[in-house]
Amino acid sequence: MKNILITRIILAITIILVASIYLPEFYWKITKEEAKSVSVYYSVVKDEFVFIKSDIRGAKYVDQKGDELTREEFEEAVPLLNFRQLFVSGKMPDTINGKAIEPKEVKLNNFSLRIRPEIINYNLIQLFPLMESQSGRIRLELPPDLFRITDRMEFITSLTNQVDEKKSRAFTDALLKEGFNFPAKKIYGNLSTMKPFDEGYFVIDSSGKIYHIKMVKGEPFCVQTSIPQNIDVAYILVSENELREFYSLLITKKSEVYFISYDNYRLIKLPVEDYNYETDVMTIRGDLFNRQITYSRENEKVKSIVTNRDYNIVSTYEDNSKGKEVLYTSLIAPYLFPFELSIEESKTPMINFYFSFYDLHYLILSAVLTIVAIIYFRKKKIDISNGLIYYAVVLVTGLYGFIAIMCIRDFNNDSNI
Amino acid sequence: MLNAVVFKEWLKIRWIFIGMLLINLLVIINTYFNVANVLKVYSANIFLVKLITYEILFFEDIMYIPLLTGILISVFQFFPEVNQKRLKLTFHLPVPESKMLFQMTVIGFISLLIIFLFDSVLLSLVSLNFFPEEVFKSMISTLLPWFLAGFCGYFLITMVFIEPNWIKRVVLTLIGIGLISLFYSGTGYAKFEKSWLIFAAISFLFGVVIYVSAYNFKRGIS
Repeated sequence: MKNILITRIILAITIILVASIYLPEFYWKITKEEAKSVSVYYSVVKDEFVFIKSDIRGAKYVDQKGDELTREEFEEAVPLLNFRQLFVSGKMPDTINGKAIEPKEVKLNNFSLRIRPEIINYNLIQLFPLMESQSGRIRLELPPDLFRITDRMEFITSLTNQVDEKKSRAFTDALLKEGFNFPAKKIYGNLSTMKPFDEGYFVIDSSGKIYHIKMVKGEPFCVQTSIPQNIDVAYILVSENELREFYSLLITKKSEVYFISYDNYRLIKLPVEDYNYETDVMTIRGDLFNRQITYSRENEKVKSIVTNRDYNIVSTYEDNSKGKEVLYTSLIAPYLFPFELSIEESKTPMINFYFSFYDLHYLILSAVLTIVAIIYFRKKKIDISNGLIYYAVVLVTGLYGFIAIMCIRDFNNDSNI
Repeated sequence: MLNAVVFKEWLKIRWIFIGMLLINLLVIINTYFNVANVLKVYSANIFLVKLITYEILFFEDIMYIPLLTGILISVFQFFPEVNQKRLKLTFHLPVPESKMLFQMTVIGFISLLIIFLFDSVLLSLVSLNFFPEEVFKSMISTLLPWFLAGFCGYFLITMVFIEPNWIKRVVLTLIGIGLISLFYSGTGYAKFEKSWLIFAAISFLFGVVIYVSAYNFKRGIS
């Protein structure tokens, strides 16, 4: 008898679990709002921020005062980003801020990096292609093998699925000579061949030292970088760029952001405040004059910091109004649901139980449902001693609990219980 | 008694067991040739880098096969019981119905386990034949939730057969489908890496619910 009670409790828990995943999911599905996005740009010509506000109807160009710009006016306000269009239409200024503008130079200095929390949480299979960084060819090519760094650095030839002993030994020896402690904790690199050249990988060894590994004319190039060992790395985004100012972007677990520079791996700290790598999307745009670092948190805020080429702040923009513009759907949700359980989250590709609790507003609905349950049970003349547990479940878990006990009730019309 | 139950259950499911084993085998043979043929067209290094960066599941043909296996084994095991009203007789033997049912479901469970182990071994051979062991490890981690879906499918169909009340059958089906769908969330390799143990626990707890139905069945609660 006791066992059957336990299994009923399990059934109730299962119902609450499934309901707390699907009901909110369904709610958000039927009340989904149109997507709106705002991109922030810095105009070196106007010395102020300009914006592209886009939704499904198209894009609007707006300046900082809120006045609408035409597309052409916008492009002229951000000439370095739109240089191709402006050169074609003959509207590119000859000089900007007293500096003569050369298309080649503009192109060389333009870059853009984007980092999302999802990328940081990815669990890619830990096998990497090490490209030849000085092949003398225009295009990069994938090597015939992939490497892993476990108790040594091993290259596995893909065609035969066998370890290339000679190459493995050469790289392992080169790493040992530099004091590498096997195995590697983390390996970061840019696997794409669609890049101007290859800078190989930044690898954290088991003691936390950061190494730079690449292949130069078939030979290993392995150096221990000067990056402090105690820096707690959350992610390194390797991005090869003709400008050759930095190898990669390094983000620490404290959400500090650095460039690893070509100047002997010196770290350049970017002046970001209250950036959180676990929740924010960050874009870094560079041009001839400035660096613009923009990070935004969904439905909360967007912040943009513009620095000069020495990374001193020139201008900042912050908009927290996103948080104030509360949607009616998210106002109603806390009244309906005591909590939400989801197994997928936009910030990570990993499946897990992600629990989110709103506030105590749900208690209103819970109280109503409890009263309904009491009336129902009284009418059906079901023993109140069991009812008390049921009412507690409804009060705490709200709608989900109500559904669960209504199903369980049906499983419970036995006089013995 | 136990031997008799094992023998009786085996008689019911032997053909579907062998049949499903064959279907699983055919799907894996198909997977083997799919990979072998891709590697006759593309060079292995390019395919492997694509497999890693785009998270191509070379074994995705098997995805719903464990679920199908679980459902069919349950159908062959419990449909005759319920249809020919034998279950009533079984449950009235001088053995507690929960013990009897436990023995019956354990046999179904073990036959599923054998098929899933068979799948894992064969797919591992395919993977290790073509790819480094990292791919094999991620593959196993990706297969786990699909196998759990198979077990949940088995439990769900079993409880739907045993449950005498139609409304309860519908409720159980909704919960079961909700639970099973969870195992097919996410795309790419090993996305359940950090959570599969919790999902496994939930699946087996769900299995326990069968006893509620059996309890209802024996006592004629509907």
